[in-house]
Amino acid sequence: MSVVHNLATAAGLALFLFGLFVFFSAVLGLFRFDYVLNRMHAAAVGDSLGIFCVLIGLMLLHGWSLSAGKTVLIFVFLWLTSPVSSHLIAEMEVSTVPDLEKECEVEER
Amino acid sequence: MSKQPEKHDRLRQLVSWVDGDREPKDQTLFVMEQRPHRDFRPSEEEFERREKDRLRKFFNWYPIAAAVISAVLGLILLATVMNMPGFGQEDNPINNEVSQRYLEQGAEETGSENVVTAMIIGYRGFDTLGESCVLFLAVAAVMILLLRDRKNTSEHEARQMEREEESVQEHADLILKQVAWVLIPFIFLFAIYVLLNGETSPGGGFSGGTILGAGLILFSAAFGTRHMQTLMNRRRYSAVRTFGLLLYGILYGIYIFIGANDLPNYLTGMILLIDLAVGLVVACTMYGFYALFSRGEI
Repeated sequence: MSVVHNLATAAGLALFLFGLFVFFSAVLGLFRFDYVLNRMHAAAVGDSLGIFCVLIGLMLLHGWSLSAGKTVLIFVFLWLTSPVSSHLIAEMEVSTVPDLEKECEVEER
Repeated sequence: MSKQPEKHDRLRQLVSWVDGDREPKDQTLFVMEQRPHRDFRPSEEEFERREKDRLRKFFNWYPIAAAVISAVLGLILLATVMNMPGFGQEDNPINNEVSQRYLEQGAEETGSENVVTAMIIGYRGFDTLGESCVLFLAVAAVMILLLRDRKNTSEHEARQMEREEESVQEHADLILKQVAWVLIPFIFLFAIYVLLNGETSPGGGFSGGTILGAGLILFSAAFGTRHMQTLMNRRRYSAVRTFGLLLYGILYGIYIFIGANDLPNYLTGMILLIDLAVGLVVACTMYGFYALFSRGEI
């Protein structure tokens, strides 16, 4: 039991720190990139992978409880809404910028 | 006869010269006195070079200055935190007779189970009433400035708005619609939960109203104006907004009357109603700002 507990704590810590690293790189990318689609990509990395790692890490650290269930709800909500908002921003960018080829490489479909 | 006015005139000129007027009224005595053009205008390249020099100097010094200011600010904040009294200790300055009274008699004096709610709505209800009034007046001011109606919109603009609305309806985003279809019931449910739970938990009116307003904004963004009009048009919007503030004002008046005259407080659901009123005002404010700034109509 104790071994399992220790393993869960170690895994939780590792996931939590990895999530923090992902968030750090996301914020760095958000501030350093120039173009809106690149910045959106950086923010989306933090919103999906970073949130996932941090919240799973927290759940592993604290064990299963009601709060852990609420945490699951939080990241279901974030995973539902964050891609939609990114999609809307990207669609607005594509539909309003007249010469998108100048700004970035566009793959023809 | 002619000497007297001249003398008088000279005197006046002298006075004006002493006072520092450069150009006397009659332009006879000091006409020649003109300030030479001192600052010569640098040429275009010279000007550019100077500007670049200045910019380079600025960017050389900017990171250093920023680092120094940040370090000093951080040190000041750290020193403040170090000197702060420990959390939850008995002899902290916040533990005085005011908070003692709130904690000991808040429940029976305000009829609220939660101390935070007792404070926000009971003891400092005037503050909350003022905030609600501010929100109400803010929406009214934005309405005065931005609301479109027949008087300030020309035929052409109205038709253009109509066309834009049509195109938005045609190219409605499927992804947003589907996600909104899933999320909106839960958002409204959570808003109602927060509003009704405000009586027994910290928070309540403002947070619940904000969630409700966010749900309305999402609905309006996903399903378009036409569907929103069936849920909430201008008359209904104004009615809800005014009803919220009036309910709050009347209830709080009764509340004060009861408290001031030492009447027994039988109205146990009052905190809940006040919470609901605040929530309605806040939700209407949120949605009203969104609708007025994006479309100019509600």
